[in-house]
Amino acid sequence: MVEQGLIRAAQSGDRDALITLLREIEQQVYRTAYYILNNEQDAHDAAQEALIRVYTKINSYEEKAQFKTWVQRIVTNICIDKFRRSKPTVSIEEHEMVFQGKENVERQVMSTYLAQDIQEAINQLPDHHRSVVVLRYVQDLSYNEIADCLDLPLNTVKSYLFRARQQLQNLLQDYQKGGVSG
Amino acid sequence: MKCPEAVEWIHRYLDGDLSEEEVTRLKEHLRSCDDCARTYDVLKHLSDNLYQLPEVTPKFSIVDSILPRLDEIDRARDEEGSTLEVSEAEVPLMKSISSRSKKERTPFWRTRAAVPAALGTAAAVILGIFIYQYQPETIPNAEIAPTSQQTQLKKDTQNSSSAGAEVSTQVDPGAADSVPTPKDSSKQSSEPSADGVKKNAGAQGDAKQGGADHAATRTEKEGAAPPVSHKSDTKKSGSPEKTTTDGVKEFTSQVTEQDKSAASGSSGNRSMDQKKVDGTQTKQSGQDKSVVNKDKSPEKTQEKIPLAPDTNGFMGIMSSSPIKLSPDGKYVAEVEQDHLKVYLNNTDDRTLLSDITLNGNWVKGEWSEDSKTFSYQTSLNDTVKDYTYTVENNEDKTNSTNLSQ
Repeated sequence: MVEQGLIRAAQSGDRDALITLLREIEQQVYRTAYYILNNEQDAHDAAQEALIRVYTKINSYEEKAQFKTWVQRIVTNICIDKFRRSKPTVSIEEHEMVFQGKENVERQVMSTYLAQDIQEAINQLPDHHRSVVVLRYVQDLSYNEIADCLDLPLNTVKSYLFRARQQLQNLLQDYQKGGVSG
Repeated sequence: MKCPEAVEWIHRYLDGDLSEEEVTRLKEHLRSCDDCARTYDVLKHLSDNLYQLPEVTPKFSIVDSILPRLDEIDRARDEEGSTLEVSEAEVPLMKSISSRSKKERTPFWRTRAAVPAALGTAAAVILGIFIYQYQPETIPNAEIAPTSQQTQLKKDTQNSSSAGAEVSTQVDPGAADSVPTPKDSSKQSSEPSADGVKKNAGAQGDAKQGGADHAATRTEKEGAAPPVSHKSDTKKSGSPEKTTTDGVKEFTSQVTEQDKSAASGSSGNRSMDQKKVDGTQTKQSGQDKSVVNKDKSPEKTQEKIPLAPDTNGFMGIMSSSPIKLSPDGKYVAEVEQDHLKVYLNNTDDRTLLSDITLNGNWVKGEWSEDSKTFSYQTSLNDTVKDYTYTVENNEDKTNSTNLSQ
């Protein structure tokens, strides 16, 4: 949690405080970018852009909002806007709420998904579904905070998250079934 | 509870969004519904794995990698700001000056040199401020002085080569714009154009200071080169420190500077000195050299001359109503309209000692080294005349309050 005092100092023109602030949020910014973009290089680029934007727009942050939410909004927007992938993602509707047979379920429950499989699955999600999952699990934001970040209604956030989870489940199931992860 | 709703509640449960009562109801349903129980297991498993995503970290510091860009952003912002006002501390004083003189030149502020120059002037200003406090009455002139100084400097550069018969020290009656070319030329004669250029550059910075103290400003202006002698020969150390602390000295040095420079080789000054004051000057010249050396920078004299030699240290440059502090700090000679007024410089105020009506326009004036006489020149119908005012109560250093007219 970033100290309010540090933020105020940064906003009042203390450049050192501002740089310190950037260093404190650097990792969380990078992490979000990494999981949304699923690519180290892109994550670095996006994180750089995000930190620069925080630096230049620090005075537009208002204390009534959570600083973390404000920062995550910046990085998420950059990821979606600047790094919109041309690669098609799976349609979220196709596998809605459909589970495989019982056996598969048991097998899935028993095993831990490989991180790379999860990442790959996340990468398959449409942009906003992906962002919601990342903000929820990587940054541990609440529904309301995610809604703030992405400028979405609360119910839409829930809907995206629930569907995303379902979709991830199906994808991971496919991976395991198909032996993709070996 | 129906299954679709239960599934939704499972999701909400995983996000901690259910109330205690809702959790109870959900668990009841799961106990009785295998499908939903299975769904719960699957989703719970997935959610746990998602929480386990590795906390990736960047391979190198991202902040470090953007610092150069952040610096650029800061620079761009500063430049934007400096076009409106001086970026350093000397904003208030320099505003008028910079807007006037700077515009004519290449925007010094925009160059990289502006930053160190500004920093240098900032330091000088701070020093000047201390000196300022000794002579509050000179403050009103401060703003004018720098301006005139700047203009003077510019002109000086142009005229530096001209020997100029008359000492260019004249004061700038007209303040900023009035710097007459001839004045500059004479003064600056010894100065090489290079000096002038430097001075101008320095002046700009100095001007900012606003004449906190003439010495300081002069020296600052010179920038790196020691202000010591405007004369081409050297940029001796005109130790800026000297100037700041001793306005009086500068005064003397102005005169002496000229002498010095003469000694060093600029004949112009010498003759100028002669012209200035008959007896006093000559006496001083002999001493000037030494004085100059120890005082401030000869440059000051050079520059000061064109600007407003009569001003005291702080203003240094030209002011429309020149004020000159005696070297010992006891007396103040001030030109007001067509009168030369000499005051006893008390701690809190000053006592008028003499009020001399001037014949003609004020050219310049300087205190003698021993603070016993004040030599000045006025011009009438293009003729410059020298005058000397002797302070009558010339005892020791103690201030006395007799008024001598």
